[in-house]
Amino acid sequence: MGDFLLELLKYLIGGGAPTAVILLIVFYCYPDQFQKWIGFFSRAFNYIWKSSEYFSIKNEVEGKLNTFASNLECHAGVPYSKIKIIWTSRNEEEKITLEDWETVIVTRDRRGRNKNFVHAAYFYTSNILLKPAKRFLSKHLQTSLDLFTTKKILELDNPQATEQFFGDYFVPHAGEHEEIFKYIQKFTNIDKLNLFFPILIQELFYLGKKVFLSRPNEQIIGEIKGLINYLEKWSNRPVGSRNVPEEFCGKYMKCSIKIVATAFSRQLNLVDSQARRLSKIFSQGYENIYVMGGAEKESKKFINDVVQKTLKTIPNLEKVRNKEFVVKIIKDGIRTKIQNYFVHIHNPCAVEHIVD
Amino acid sequence: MKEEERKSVKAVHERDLDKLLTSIGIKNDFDAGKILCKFCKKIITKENVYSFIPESGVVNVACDEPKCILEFNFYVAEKKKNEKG
Repeated sequence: MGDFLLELLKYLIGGGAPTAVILLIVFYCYPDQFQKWIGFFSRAFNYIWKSSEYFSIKNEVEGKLNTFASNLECHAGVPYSKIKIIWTSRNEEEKITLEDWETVIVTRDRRGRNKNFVHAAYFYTSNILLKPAKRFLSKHLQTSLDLFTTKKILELDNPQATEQFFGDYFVPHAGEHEEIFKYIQKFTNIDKLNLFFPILIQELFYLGKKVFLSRPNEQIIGEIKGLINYLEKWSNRPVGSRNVPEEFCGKYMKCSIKIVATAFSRQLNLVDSQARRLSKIFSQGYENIYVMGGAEKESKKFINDVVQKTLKTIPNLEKVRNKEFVVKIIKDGIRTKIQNYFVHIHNPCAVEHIVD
Repeated sequence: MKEEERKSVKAVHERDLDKLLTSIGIKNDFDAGKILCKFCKKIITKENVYSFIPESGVVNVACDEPKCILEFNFYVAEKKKNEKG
């Protein structure tokens, strides 16, 4: 980050100390967002000052991609790696040495701005952001995950580049391989509720950290497909339906989604019995429980009481994340936006780091 | 923000390509149209070059065809995975 500040200060010369101080405070509080906007505004200077192009490409790309990683981290509990672009061959005196697999990406001038961003976003998604989550995925599943996640980044932060991405990558590849198309359909379904896609990535991330003594086999691939189907069913579940299993119990991944704050439970204040329900699942070796419910005051308090009670019952549990956000549930056959409350509890003792 | 949370990615601006090509010793071959895309075997030019991949002393090059970029990402990921065992 030192390099960025130095570049920024150079860039601000002549702007006056108060401006610099204000910008530094904003930068301190919202580093990725700040970088994204600096990249955006500095583009205007590209027309008159060629060197500013390095500054604007770097900050726009880093800022947008790192903001996405922060948002994803906020929705799930896993810290995602961010990106730092290092220019090479810019200075005459630079001695260039490339290590094996140390790839160098080519960027274009301002006319290729969308292309730069699409390439960088795809590279980042595939090689940095999702890398730990993809260790055991099949080639088509990896490509599907890369394509879908890059699409989400672009839609969020660079709608102008989305069209290019769809034309160049998404449509040709999703159309070319039936399996890729099928997975993208599933991810789209999973993402409809606005909650389960980060959970999917998070579960794959946990799986990617495990060490397998024997070579990962078809069973893992099958289990990953099972997890995808499980989350898809949850995402398509109408409110009140009991037809979707609460647990996903695989050999390598065990997680559960629990709705604890039903009107019935709240009215009878069944905190103890709901906490017992969660504790029972953890005692069966489950690694993660995702607790969901309405975000209204009474429901949120009930969920927090249940979670606290569970944490007290099993001391090693870890509350990874609690968050309020908008989900799109299915009510009376129609997707409806509501404010939701979500708590992720992780059981580190249940994790088998080395799998036979 | 912790610096170690950021993964470095090397990038070269198209206006600095000549310098990079000279440093890695492929400038003459590149200008003569002898450098081909590792994946589709198309001739690499300044207009279609996407990435350089150093591999056991040789620098492979990928073009910016989306199909090749997808192959490139998969290839690099697999190689890195295999290297780590």
